Amino acid sequence: MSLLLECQKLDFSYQKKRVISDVTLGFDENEFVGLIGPNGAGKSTLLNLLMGLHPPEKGQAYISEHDIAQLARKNIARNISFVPQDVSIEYAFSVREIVAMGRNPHLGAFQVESPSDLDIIDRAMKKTDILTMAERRVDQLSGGERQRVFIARALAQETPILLLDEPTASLDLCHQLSLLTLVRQLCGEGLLAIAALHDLNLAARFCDRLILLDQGIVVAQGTPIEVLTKENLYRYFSIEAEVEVSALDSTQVSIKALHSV
Amino acid sequence: MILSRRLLIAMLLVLLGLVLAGITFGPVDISVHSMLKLIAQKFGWNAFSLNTSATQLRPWMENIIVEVRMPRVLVGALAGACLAISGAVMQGMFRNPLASPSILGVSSGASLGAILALYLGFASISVWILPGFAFIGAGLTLWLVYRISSQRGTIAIGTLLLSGVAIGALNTALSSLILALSLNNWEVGRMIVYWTMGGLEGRTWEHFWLLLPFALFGIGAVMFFARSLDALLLGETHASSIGVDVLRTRRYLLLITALMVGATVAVCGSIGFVGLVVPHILRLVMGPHHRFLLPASALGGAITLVGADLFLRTVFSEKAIPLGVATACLGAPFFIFLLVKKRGLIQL
Repeated sequence: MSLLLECQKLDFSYQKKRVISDVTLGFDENEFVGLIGPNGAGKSTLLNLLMGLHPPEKGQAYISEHDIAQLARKNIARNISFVPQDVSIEYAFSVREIVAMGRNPHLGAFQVESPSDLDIIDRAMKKTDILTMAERRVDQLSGGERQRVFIARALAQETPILLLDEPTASLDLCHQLSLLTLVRQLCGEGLLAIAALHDLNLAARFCDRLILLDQGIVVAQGTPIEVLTKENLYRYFSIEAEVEVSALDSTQVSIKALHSV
Repeated sequence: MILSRRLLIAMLLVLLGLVLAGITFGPVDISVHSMLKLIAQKFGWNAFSLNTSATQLRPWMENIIVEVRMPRVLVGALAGACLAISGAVMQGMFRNPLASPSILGVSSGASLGAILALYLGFASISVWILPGFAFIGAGLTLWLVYRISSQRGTIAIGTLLLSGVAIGALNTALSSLILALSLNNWEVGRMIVYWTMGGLEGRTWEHFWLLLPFALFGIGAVMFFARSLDALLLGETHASSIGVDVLRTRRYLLLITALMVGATVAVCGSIGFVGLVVPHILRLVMGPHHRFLLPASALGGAITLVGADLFLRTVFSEKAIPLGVATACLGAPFFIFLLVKKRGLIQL
C-alpha cells in the first residue's frame, strides 16, 4: 500500500550551505508528526520541500506515489494545506475572505463560491473559534488571532495533509492547547498533520511521532519517549534536562530543562 | 460586495456620460440635439427625425463628431483603462502600492522602443511596427526590473522601485540621445517630438482599432488572474500553498501588462501616473479584491483620461496643454503624498 506522503533522499542547499541532507521519510493518514530540532536545523525547509515549494537539489517527494515536482500547484494544494509562520498582512481583507481563499484550489478562475463552499468556510471558522470575528479586518488582528485565521484557511482547503510551521509560536497557552487538541482530533478523523514545533513538551504531549532534525539530518525518530531522551536533549539542544515519564500514562513524557550547556 | 457592484455600475454610467460629453463639447459648437440625432441615425433609429425642423445636421458636423471627437474620446477611454488596470496588476503582483507603469520605467521603455522605431524609419513600414517596438521596450524594461529585484521568488520592494527608477532614467536618456541624433534630419526629429508629446490630439479610428484588441485581450486576460492576485497580496508562500503557481502567474502578468502599456504608449505617448493614482484610490474605497478592483480600475482610468481631456479641451481650449503634462501635474504630488504618508510624516 502506498504512503500518503513520503520523501526519498532529499538534499537542499541555501546559498551554498547544505540545509537538508539525505532525508528519507514516510507518513500516513491518522498521524500527528512533530518536527523538532534546534534553531536552523532545517525544519521549515523540510516542510517547504514536502509541499514542493522549492525544487530539491536531489531526491523526490511524493503524494500517494505521485512525484510532487510533476504535479500542478493547484493539484498539490488540493492535497496539502499549509499554515505558515506568522504572516503580517497590510491589506484590508476580512477574516472570512482570508478563510475563503482556502477554497481557491477547488475553484476555476471565474467561478464563485457555491453554498457548499460557504458552508465549508463557516465550519472551518467555527472549529478555530473565529466565527465571531468573521467580518473584522485581518490587518487589525493580533498575532494569535491571525494565526487562527490561517489555520481556518488551511482547514477550508479540506486536504488530507496539513503542514504547520511553528503554529503555536504566537498563541497564548489556551489557544496553543486548543489548536493542538483540534489537530489531534482531526488526525483521529484521518488527517495527516506534520508540524514544526519549538515547544518540546507540547510536541511530546500531542504528537504520535517525533522527528528530530539537526543540521538538516534526521538524527532520531520514533515515539516521544524514544526521541526525547536525556542524551538527545544534551547532544542536540545543548541542555541538561530531566525527562519524566508520566505515572498515569507510560507513553507521556515531560521535560524539565535545568540549564544550558 | 453589493456596494462594489453598485460602484462599478455607477462608474460605467459616469464613463458613458463623459464619453457623450466628450463627443458633444469642443471648440466647434454642436448642439446636444444634433449629436443625439446623429447617433440615432448611426444606429438606424428614426425617432428623432420627427422634429428635424429645429436643427439641421450638416455634413461638417458629422465629420467633426465621427472623425475627430469620437476616436479621440474612445482612444482616451481605452488608454486610461489599459494604464490603470496595468497599474492595479503591478501593485498587486509586486505587493506594493507604489508600483505603476511609469514608476517602474515601463512607460519610458515603451517610449524608447517607439522612438527607436521612428528613428530607424521602420514605423512607416507597417502600423504594427510602432506598437511592436513599444511592446518590446516595455517588456524588456519590466523583465529587467523584475530580474534585478527578485531573489528566489521574493521581491525586494526597495530594489524594485530603485531599479525601476534607474532603468526608467536610462530609457529617458537613450530617448533623448536618439532625439539629439535625429535633429539634423528635420522630418524625423519633428515626428519624434510630436509623438513624444503624446496625448489624444488628432487620434484617428486607426489608433482606436490598433488599441482595441490589446485592451480587450489584456483586460480579459488579467481578470483571469483576479483570484491569484488576491492570494499574492499575502505573499508568495501563502499564494503557492493555496494553489497559485507564482512564477507562471507573474510571467503571464508581466507579459500582459507589457502588451497593454506598450500598445497604449504607441498610440498616445506616455501618459504618466494614471496607473498609479487610480488603482490606489479605488483600493482605499473598495478594498483589495481584484475581482472588483480590476474592472473598477479600468473604468476609473477611462473616466480619468476622458474627463481630463474634456476638461483641458473646454477650460484651457486656447492653450493646448498636453494630456500627459496634466496627469503628471496631478499624479506626481499624489505619489509624493503616498511616500510621505508611508513614512508617517502625515497622519491621517
